[in-house]
Amino acid sequence: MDAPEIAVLDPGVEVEEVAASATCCKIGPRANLPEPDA
Amino acid sequence: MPLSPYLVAFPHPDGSDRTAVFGTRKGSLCLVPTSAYEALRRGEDPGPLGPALEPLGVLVPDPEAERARVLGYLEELNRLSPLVMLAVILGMDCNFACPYCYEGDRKGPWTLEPDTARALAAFAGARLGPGKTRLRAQFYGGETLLYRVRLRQVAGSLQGVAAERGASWSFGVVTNGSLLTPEVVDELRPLGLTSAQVTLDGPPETHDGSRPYRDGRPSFGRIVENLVAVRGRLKLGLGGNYTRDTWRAFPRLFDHLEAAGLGPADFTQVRFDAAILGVGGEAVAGCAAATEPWVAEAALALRGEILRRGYPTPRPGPSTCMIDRTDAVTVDWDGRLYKCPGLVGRPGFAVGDLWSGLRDHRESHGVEAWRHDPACRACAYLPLCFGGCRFARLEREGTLAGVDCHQPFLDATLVPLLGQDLRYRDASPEDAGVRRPG
Repeated sequence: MDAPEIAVLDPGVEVEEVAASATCCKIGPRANLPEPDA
Repeated sequence: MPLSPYLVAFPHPDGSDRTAVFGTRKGSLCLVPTSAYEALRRGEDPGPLGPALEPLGVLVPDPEAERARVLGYLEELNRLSPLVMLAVILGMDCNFACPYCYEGDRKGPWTLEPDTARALAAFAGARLGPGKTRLRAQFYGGETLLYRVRLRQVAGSLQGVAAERGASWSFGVVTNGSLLTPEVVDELRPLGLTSAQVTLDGPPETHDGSRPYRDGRPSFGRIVENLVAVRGRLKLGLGGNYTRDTWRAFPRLFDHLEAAGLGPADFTQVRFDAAILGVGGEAVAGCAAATEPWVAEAALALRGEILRRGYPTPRPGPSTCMIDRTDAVTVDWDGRLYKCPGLVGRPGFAVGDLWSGLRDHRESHGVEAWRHDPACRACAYLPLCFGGCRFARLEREGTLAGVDCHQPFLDATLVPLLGQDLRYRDASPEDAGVRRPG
């Protein structure tokens, strides 16, 4: 395959970064529970 | 090199000959010429695309090894996490009377007592050590800032124990905002305060009905005054709880914020979530709202408006909940421990207390349920979900066992949501979003 041009809009996060974040809720609707660290 | 089994791909909404590819394990997003993506789907050698797409988790050396990596993701995350996370209820009194409050009739004059605060510091200190080098707490209530004296004491003791153990320390407050003045912030910052999460349920005409003071007075004006006064002193997160009847009014909130002089730079995160009223006004978990058909429409429309106005909001990506994390726990005012704020005060769901420690909750809370569900194991959304919200499962099914499947909700919302990111990120080189984790 030739070298087509790709655009990286977001490289994503490694598991280490998720592990170091104080987050406790998932994507999607939910009630007024404590938020991730603002 | 083959494609990962954890991908969501769709044509770029701008009609160009590009395919947007979202990798769910990393939350990566890229654009690939559609012809090249089709060639990858046919299994052709990626050639020079390999070094570009492998770091994004789009191409993987071995799909089965990638599946094994995702199945072991939470174990790896817990092994790597430097955090000890506490969500602490300082007391159950509140100066607001929000009809949807999930704490309901558990409100009252109960406070975390000094001996409980000492036990909390000992509990936290015992969990710090090699590999656990960051202590983070979120305080809530009731209304957190009704408990300023106790908050100073608890934060001070946790700050002390973190210092003794060579760990860093910080905390945030979840507050209704009515008492969040510059004096309060300046008093708490030396004790480790870094952030506040404040709730506005839309513009005054909706907010003041859903978040009034206990005596019925409106609260919108005071909260916005306080936000103006404290901005720049700490990180501000803005949340809002909408219903089927109020969500369409929410965009007007931004007009009111801007009229007060507040803008995107004043907030580190803005997100709105569904609050659903059950029979008799009793609160029902918002997570359960994923099954309500209007919620997908509202969630997408309001996220789009947040981005259009230039405010930061979370992007989809791998996320975990307190139940999944080994060193995350909710501490009730009486010292009992729970693995989710939604479970606090529910008989049978405590997992120990500050004095006797944390019991193994893996079986009782369905931690491994997704691992045993063939549909979950085969699902491309698994890293976004990991079995969903156990609290929502409990609300709907009466049990924490089993999974709270988000597939229908993600089928309906993920591609449009990623399309929003494409649109607004294309529109501005300055990234308007915040990553999850934030």
